[in-house]
Amino acid sequence: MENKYPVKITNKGLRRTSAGYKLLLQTLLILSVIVFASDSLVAKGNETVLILNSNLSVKKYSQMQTAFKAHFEGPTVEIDVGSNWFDEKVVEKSLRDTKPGLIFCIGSKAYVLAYKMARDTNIIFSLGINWQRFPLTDKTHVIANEIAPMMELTTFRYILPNVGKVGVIYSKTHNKEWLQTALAEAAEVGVEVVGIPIEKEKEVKAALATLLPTIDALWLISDPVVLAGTERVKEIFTLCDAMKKPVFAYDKLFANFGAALVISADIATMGKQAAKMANNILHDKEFMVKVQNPAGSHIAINVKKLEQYGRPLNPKALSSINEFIEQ
Amino acid sequence: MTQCISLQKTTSRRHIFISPAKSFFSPGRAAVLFFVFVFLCVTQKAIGATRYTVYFYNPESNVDNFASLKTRLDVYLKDTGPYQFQPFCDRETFEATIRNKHNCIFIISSWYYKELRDSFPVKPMLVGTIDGKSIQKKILSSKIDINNLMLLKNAGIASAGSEEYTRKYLKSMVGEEYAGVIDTCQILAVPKDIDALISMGFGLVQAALTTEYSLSKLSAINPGLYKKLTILAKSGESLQPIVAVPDANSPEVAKLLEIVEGMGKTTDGRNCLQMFGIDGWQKPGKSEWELLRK
Repeated sequence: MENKYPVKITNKGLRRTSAGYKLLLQTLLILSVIVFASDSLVAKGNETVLILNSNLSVKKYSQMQTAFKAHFEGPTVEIDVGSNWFDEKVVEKSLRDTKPGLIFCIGSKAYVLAYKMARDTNIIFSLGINWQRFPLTDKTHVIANEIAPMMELTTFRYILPNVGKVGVIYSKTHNKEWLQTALAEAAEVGVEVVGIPIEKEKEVKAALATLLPTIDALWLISDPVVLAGTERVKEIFTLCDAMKKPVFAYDKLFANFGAALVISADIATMGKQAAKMANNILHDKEFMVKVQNPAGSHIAINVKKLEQYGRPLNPKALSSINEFIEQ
Repeated sequence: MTQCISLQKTTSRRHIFISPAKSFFSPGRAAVLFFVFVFLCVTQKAIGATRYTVYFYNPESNVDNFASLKTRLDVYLKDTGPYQFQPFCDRETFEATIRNKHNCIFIISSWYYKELRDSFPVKPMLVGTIDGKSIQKKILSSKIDINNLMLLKNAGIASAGSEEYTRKYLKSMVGEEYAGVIDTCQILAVPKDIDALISMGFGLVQAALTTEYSLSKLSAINPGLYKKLTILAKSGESLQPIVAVPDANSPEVAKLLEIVEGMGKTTDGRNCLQMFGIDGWQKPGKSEWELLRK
């Protein structure tokens, strides 16, 4: 049989050719394994959440991290940025190595760092006091630190049904919009909210003198002008106590000053909210609310103080109270 | 010389000191002391063993008030005998703890009783009441624009119960036809019914599972929000929390049961009960037994 091909195929040549095919096949196999592995690595990397914690030694920050991890389904990498000796390069390296699909920031310090280093990444910002003052991107999502006024007002009405008129001192610069929302929602709940605006902290005393005789309770809100320092806070509580007016506060630290009712955000619920938000973002699920208010509340009450001020508690609301302040 | 005398004195003193000690720890006295020690240990153990416990687990509520509950209940029970209160928030831990326990009673949700009864033989003894009523209903409500169950696909549902409880309960409420829709929903477990309703109010979730009682409370305290809601599904009747005892129990358990039954008759006791969301107990009647058997 005549060979039509210009290349003569010998046994040795055949062996060489088959060895070449084997090599080619092996190379293709290795390449496909590498491509497949790198694909899955990238996919895994994209589902990883980098948790940046502003200070793990702060109780509510560590509670938030624990709650998030308990409810988040994917892998996480955790960095505590709270230490004084913290080196930003740790975050840089982690971002490079893990290429996280999302950064979960607990506290303002963590968010500022994430915004500076990875603003193109999806970010969930939680436990930042007054989140509106921070720069946000299209990829920033927020779990607000503050309970919505509607939740607070409804809780006031439920726990203390005979409190019909509450007073608020606020600075126009920081809380003008908040007060408008609160006034609109108060009308629906059947509570009358009376607000007195101030510009400087020294106006607090005069505002209280006008307000206290006309209201059933003082509603303390997060306002840097009104609550400018411990002495100012002490003064507010002393004046309210003298007039037998209960103070409703938003953080448990005011319990030590004599707050009669504290409604704060429930950290465990916020952790769950953040985990669900992260799962939704990473799996491109329909996502409805980009800025979420805390869905759960933590209620602490000082029964003795309320009795002292003649404000009886609705006994049926006892099952909703998380903590009794004994002071 | 002086040194030598001194040494002798020391030696003699040591001898004088050792001698009475030796006589004090004579074999007879040592034996008596040993028996006293053993007796004390045994009685101590016996006292510890006769401590009776009220165990509490309610997957229908997420309110984390266990520290306050324990303080108040322990104070109340301590005045009546060697009793203590122990609440649980986790089903596995609760079930692991109560295994083989007989010196106890349980305050549990009536829904959970049905989950427990096959694996752990317990007898219901009392049913909780609120305003004299032992029966409750659950409501699945939503914003007015979600007016049928199909629209709940992929939606968020807030509930004050555990996720396991909420899913099972919702499926039993909506029936087989819509069970698949419930599978697609995300459950957000919040501490209280009021939190669930308000979360729905500001659009965090699309629906809320609460008691009918909580919904009626909302109508009184926030009529504006109430008007924006619609009822998607209503459950059948179920009971408030119940008190149950292990099938095999000791006479002291009956005493403890009596104390718990009487809680609604004193101010302190009623205050404790109100922390469970009830204000009294009653023995199950015909209709309650029917619901417990279902």
